[in-house]
Amino acid sequence: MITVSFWNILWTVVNLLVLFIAFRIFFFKPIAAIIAKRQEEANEAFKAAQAKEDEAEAKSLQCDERIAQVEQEKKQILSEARKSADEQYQHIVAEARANASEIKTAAATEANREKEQIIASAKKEIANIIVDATTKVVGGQTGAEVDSNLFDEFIGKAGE
Amino acid sequence: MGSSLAERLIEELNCETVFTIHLGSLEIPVMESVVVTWIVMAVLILLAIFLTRDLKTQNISKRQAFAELVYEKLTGIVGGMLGEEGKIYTGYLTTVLLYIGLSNIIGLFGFKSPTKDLNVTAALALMSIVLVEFAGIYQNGVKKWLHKFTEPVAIVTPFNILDVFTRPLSLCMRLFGNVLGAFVIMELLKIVCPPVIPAVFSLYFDLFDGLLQAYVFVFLTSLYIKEAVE
Amino acid sequence: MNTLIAIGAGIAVVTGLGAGIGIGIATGKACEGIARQPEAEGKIQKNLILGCALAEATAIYGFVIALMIIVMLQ
Repeated sequence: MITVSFWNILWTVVNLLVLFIAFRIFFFKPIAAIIAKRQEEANEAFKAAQAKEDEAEAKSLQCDERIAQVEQEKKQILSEARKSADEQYQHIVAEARANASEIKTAAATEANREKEQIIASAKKEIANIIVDATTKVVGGQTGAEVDSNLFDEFIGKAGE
Repeated sequence: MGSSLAERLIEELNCETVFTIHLGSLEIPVMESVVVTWIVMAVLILLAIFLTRDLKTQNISKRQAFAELVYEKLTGIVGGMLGEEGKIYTGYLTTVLLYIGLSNIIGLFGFKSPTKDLNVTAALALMSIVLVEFAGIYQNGVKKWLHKFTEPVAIVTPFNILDVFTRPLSLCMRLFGNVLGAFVIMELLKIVCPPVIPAVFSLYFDLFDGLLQAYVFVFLTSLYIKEAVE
Repeated sequence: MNTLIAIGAGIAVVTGLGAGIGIGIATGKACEGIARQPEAEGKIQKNLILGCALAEATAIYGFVIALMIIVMLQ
């Protein structure tokens, strides 16, 4: 054990080198290779997932755009509808207004006509009254007194 | 009792030649520690082959998970000690860590620990210092490597050169002495108070101290390498 | 002769003194450190074990020298 033997040292050195090479071949290399391979696979899977995610993102963006477009369209249609409704409303209102004014004018003319008729009938009546009165006056009293009475009466009748 | 203990110790400590290879006129002795080293190597390599059989990237088996855990942990520990520039030496140092660790605890299974043989630890230390100096030359070039001996001041040059010899000596003696010391104490304990108490101490001396010394050996070597490649 | 060898080996083993003092100081300081920063206990413990293993080496050297004296001089 304490005696130094050259051959023993040489044997050990050779043994160690053999062990090292064997371990390199049987242990380190395959495991390092398999770990590297797994890493690569994981990288690939990650890349694929990334691509898919990108795709999905693009799709979602597209969808968003589409939704925005639809929204725009909706807005447009709505505004159009609103506009047309407004127009229609305006139209209806205008029509109604026109109708109303027509009715009003018609009513006014009718009223006028009635008034005129009334006036005419009143005039006629007045004339009748006057004729009556005249005949009465002519038949009864004479003079300025009578005239004034007649006048008063007339006025009073007309005031009614 | 004293003489029998001494005899047993001597017998345990002596590294016998198991057989001799005749290669022409050369006679190459194969010591006991070398044979046990082969056993350790066989165990480690078979374990490595068993653990790395049919590796998959997905749906891994428990065996593969264990293999990967061991790989990640060991290379993480050793690579962390070596630093960024010394990463390429991780493989060798991890192998050394496993080898010394298993060698230190193989005494539990009735074999003589190879690290109880001074020649084995000397060879390990020799390889460590060769690796350290090689790493220094490889990283910085011969000129800068030589210049490093005069750093930080020219006066310390002899000490720096001495370091090249004392470092492997200290590595070698530390490992050898620890394993030997643990072994002697365990033998004494086994004689003094059998049977339960030695088992408890064996847990510390054989398992903990053995693995700790393997770690210390690798730690110091990686420290030297880190210093050399700076 | 044997007595001299035994005395030499005993003197060599005195190196354990340094290791004991060193490990004692290291452990004391580690305890102080843990008391001051309990959250760093793991790191301190790791370094303490490593430092102890390194400090122990001097005692181990003495032991190896003692053993060498006994084995080689006998």
